[in-house]
Amino acid sequence: MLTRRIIPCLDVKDGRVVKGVRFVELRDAGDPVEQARAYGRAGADEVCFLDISASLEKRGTLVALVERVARELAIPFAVGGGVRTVADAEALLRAGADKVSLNTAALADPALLTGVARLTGSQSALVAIDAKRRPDGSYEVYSHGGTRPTGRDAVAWAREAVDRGAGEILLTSIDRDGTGAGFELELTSAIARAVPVPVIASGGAGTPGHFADAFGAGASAALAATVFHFGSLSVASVKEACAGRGFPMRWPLEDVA
Amino acid sequence: MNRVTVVDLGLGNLGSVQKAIVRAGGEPVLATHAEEIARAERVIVPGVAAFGLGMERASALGLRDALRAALARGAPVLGICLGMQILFEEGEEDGIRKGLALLPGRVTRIPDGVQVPHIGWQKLAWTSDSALGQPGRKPLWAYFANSYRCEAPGELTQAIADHSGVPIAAVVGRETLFGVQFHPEKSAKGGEDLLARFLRLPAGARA
Repeated sequence: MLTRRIIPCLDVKDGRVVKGVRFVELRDAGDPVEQARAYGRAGADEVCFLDISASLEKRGTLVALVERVARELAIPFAVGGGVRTVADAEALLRAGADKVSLNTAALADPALLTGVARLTGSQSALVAIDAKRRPDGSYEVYSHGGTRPTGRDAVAWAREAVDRGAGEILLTSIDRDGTGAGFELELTSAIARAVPVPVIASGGAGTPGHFADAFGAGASAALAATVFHFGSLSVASVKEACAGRGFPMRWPLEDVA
Repeated sequence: MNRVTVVDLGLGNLGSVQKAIVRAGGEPVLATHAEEIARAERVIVPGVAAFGLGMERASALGLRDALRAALARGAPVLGICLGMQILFEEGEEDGIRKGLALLPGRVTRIPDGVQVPHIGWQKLAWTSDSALGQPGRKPLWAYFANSYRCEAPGELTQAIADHSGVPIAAVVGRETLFGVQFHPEKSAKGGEDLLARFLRLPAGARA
């Protein structure tokens, strides 16, 4: 049986980690490669890099970074942020990224997902969906980093994205993101039931139990940034708690890292 | 240093495979010509792409005859992911496509009803003693990312991953020819261990 995955997310700006965990052993805490490797040693199943560079010129540094990560990291990694075209995605995949995440650009042109899936297979085409709860209990998709409502229903968009070629969904609750109040379980469950591809729950992690709750709602993986960066949770403590709740995990640490 | 010839089909980044070989104690040498592969000490065929594209590149390179020549000298050969799938007779991705037919069996889409793509980590169960496995058939943690699987005969299957009741052939082998459906270069310690065992297999006789 596939184990449930724990995925730390690193925000990268101009080739440097913006918010980084304070791993004491790191010589350069701003180096994304060192950060990712430290997460690998800590038992992370995968790492996600989110590029938040403001300018296009600075984005050039991302491809060079991905090449370095691909050589140095012995676990898979995804890259997202500002991927606009199939050519952007191809450059990242050629540089060694296992998955490329598409968000705003895929909403504007869903055929982009098909184009990326054709490059190396749907397992490399990750669609990131940022959703916010409506008063009627349904969920609306937002674009542009969660700032613009699109009028699209999250479940309908998830289905379409998968039909177009997306092989995995990174699902972020805008309402929960950064709150530490737990993942949005109803949203997670609605999307996980609607599509056959894995769903990565994101937004709201605060305690180890929250991760287990997300898995209980049908998530294949759960992603978090803040709790890991600021050291309030370790990957190990999260995995131990989830294993204790009966979810299959890649665990214990001495077997895996 | 155990030299290993890595087949470059021009299908993307080989940096992670090359570096994983170095971590496992080997010396990777990229090859884009059939002659280099035919006389190699040992060969790894990596690849992340669709079956049809992989076979187009493999045919253009003359990979089938090159691998047959290497195997005839007793050289160990390891196909990884798509590199494993193309070792079989045919695949059904983008229509029915002929494979290298170095192993009997077909490559088919993972049936509906389970999660597809099959993405993530699982512990392999060895079904026979394998030169790539640890003594005592110790389970190994492996990272998968595939929508297709090799339907290999039982006698070739050395380890399987049980995907919610659907068996995925994870390691296949016959004499010195091996294939792994997962990505050892992405499978942390378990992947490194498997690569190290492959690298320690006796090299093929000199060409």
